[in-house]
Amino acid sequence: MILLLALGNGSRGDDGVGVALGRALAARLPPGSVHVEEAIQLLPEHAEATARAGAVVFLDATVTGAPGEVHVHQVHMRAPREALLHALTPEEILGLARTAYGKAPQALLVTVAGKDFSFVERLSEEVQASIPAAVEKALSWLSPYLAS
Amino acid sequence: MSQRIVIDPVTRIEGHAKITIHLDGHGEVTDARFHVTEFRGFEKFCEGRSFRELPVITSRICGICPVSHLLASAKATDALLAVDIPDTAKLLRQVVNLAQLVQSHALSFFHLSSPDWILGYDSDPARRNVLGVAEVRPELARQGIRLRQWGQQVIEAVAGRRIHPAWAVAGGVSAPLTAAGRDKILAGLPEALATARKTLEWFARDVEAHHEEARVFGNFPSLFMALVGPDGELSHTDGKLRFVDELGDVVADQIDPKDYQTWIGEAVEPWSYLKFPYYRPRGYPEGLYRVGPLARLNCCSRAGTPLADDALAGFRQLGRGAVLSSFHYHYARLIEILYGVERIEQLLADPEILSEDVCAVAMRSRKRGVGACEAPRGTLFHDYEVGHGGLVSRVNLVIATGQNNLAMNRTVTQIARHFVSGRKLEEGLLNRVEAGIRAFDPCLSCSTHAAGRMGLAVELLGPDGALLDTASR
Repeated sequence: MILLLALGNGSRGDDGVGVALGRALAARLPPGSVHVEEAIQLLPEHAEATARAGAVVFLDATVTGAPGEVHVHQVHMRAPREALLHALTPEEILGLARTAYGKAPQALLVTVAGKDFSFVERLSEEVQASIPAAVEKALSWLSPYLAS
Repeated sequence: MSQRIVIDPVTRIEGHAKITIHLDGHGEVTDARFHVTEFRGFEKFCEGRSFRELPVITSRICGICPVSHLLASAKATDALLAVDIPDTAKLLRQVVNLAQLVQSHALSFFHLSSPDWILGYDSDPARRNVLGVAEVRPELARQGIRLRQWGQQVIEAVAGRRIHPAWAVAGGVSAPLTAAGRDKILAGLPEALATARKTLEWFARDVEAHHEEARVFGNFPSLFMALVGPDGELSHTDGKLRFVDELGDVVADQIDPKDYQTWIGEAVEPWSYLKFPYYRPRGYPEGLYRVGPLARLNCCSRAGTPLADDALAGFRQLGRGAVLSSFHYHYARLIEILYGVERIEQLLADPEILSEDVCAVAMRSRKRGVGACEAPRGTLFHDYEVGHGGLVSRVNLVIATGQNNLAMNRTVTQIARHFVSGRKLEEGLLNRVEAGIRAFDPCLSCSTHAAGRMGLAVELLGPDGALLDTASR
């Protein structure tokens, strides 16, 4: 099972791109092969679902980069922050999955640089236009897991 | 010559704050202050909105306890309509409120506070968090995660979504509970109950090991306030106000929450955005009172569910009269988790729980409405006045963390007096001051209606206000 952790707040403009990506990517994956969790932020309980998954894709917006720019990179477990807050990073979710559940699958982080994070329920044109490319990159990374 | 220490910000709580510790010329602590330095102004920008919008708007004050704001707000709007909402809506509101209590307390106990006890106050701060707990007690970490998850699933099953549900409305709730939703909740209930019992047994057994913390973490006589039912039982969603004193004697009882301003005053200080509510008959600041899990267990005559009543009897052995140490907020939280799980099971067994009669239709008939409920951190009041066209003209929010403000300041002073000596800051002091504050599980996002993250920093100031030392992380 592939887990998509689609992060963001759809009421804050481009911050909702993670959720939009999750839905678009899930639509391209074989039925029954994927579980999508939509969340505003990562919480400790996401570690349980992560540990059960064969592979995980974190989908999120970023404030870094030109609007619509897509970045992907493999996520590696990280030592916890000194002052752990309520919201965790993808690296910490993997760390908690490994520590508490004994398993941390391979994981990818896909981000899209946002342009407008104001109180609107729509994506900017640049971000909306970037979704197909972001989905293709995620699919490319996921292909070995789909084959197995 | 006096000196001052500042801790800024404090970690593992919601919002931003700093702590200053003032020393005299001999290096002795004279005072300590818990400063809340952020401000959001929900009370102001709600003005001019339709009163029917306020449950949704005010629930955005907090991502941890949005349900509390939603319910207090919906109750205030019920009061504006002057309606008695359908019985099923009352039952469902109780279920959701208790589910939020379970998930919020689980977050506080397992994720935020247990690292201090499992790993030790003086352990490496880099490891003193839930991941550190998972390394040495993976089963406990997993249980905490599962328990919180169940609480959130209950909220989702009843109210449609886990965070910021817009389901409680003026006159009731917007949707009934489905049979599938009820069955999903019940499927996870045995595990939640087992975790609640097991964790409570462990903590109760080990409570003596925390004797030192219990002695100095906010251990002082005070009043306590909570909502109670007609027979004095725990009542988190409805009920009337009760105050008890340090002896556990009732000093005021069955007060309608709409009359809260007769009993509660709100002082302000120039050094914090957090207000300082006090028990008006005793004046300010002598009218210090505490709210939240500890206060609820001190105020109630009984819990009202079998296992929680047994646990309450054991808890009361910790005090002569009221249990006074704020350290025991943690213990009280575990008893409330147990109560919450038991009570949800009782509520779901009500034959009317699946009724579709969940909302009364009415027009506004009053100009002022007050709603109150017990949020995880204590009693929460929403007080609205409306004018022409149902537009809100005044909002006053009295938040649980604010009501513990005087007590938190006193706690910081007590801990500082015990652990501070000399002009240098020690790591152990920072940890314990933080832990003392964390016992209250304060939510500054709620109490100042402020957003943000919290770290830790301390300043040490001399009698002339000069900065002697600072520490932060």
